[in-house]
Amino acid sequence: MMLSLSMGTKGEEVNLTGIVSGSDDVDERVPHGRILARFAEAVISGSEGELADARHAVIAAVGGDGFVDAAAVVGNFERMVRVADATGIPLDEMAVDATIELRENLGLNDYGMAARTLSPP
Amino acid sequence: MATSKQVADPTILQSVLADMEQCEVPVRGELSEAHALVLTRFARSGEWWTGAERIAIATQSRTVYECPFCKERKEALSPYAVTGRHKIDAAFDGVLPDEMIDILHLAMTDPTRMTASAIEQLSSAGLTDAHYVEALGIGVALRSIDQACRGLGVPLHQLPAPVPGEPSRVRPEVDPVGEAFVAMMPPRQPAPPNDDLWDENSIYYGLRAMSLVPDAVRDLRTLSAAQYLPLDKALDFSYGRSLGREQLELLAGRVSAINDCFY
Repeated sequence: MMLSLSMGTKGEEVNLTGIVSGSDDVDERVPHGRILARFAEAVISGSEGELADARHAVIAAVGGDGFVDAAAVVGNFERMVRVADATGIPLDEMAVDATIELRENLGLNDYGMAARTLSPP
Repeated sequence: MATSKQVADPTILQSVLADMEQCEVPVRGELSEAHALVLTRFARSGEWWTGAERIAIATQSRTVYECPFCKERKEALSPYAVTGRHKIDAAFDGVLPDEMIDILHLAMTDPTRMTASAIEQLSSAGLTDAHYVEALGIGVALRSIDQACRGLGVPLHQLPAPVPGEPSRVRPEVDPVGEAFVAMMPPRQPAPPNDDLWDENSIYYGLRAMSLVPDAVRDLRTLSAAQYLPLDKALDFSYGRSLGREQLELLAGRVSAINDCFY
């Protein structure tokens, strides 16, 4: 949702399929999106070699400061997902209505946490 | 709104800066300062755990990713269908109750299968949902720091030595459990001394989730401000960093999807 909103402020739409399916499908309207997504995948589950390659690709694409931002954001959301799931918080009210179509299109309603997050205990 | 004015321990900050100097590009000081501040807080007594226990929790939260029992449990149809013993750092064996070790491992390695009843069952060990939230806050903060370091290609920061002291054992006024697995502060501006936790423009479940332990919210805000965005800027799409906002959100979304996180 936040990616759609941020692209929307630039008057552009974005295909979100690659968010779920992987870096090869990331919409190229996001500058260097595939390289960044590949980096996120490498940090979370890549080998040291894959991560080193992904790191160099990001630095070449977006520069040193952008690379530092990328590493920091990946770390940040490794935390946020655990906070959300391990405390069982529901989706914020504003996001429930705003993401109906998005959730259906990307199959997010099939996630194990979906029923619980939409209908808290 | 009040502002927290805690500063990092100078020795811890120097150690973090030395790690960051090993990155092949310069790392902004804001990131090092945030990491050092949160590590400094780890070492001090919290609301429900002593400094020694908090460092044990941090150590455990690093061990979980090499825990064979956690791998076996994650592959099982139900995490409660298998029994076993978690990998524990020998230096901290006996510091934490087994029940806390077990739920911390689940929260870190398989959080989508956490349940309210698993948290309630901590009471059999004399623990509360507040003990859980504080431990979770330490574990996820360190995960955030460690994964940033892995991405940057620098060593994981050394955990500090614990500082003696007793927990404050102050439970804030919270709504009863209902919206989530844990009790949360009400969705309004908190009264002092917790009026720095959020304001009317930043009342998100993602912040309230940890509000049973206000310092866990402060850690979350400290790290978010340095590693992502100040949370009161989350809906200001003109606010970005060296990366454009759409690039930051792409990374956030991809990390969430890899973790099967619906939120």
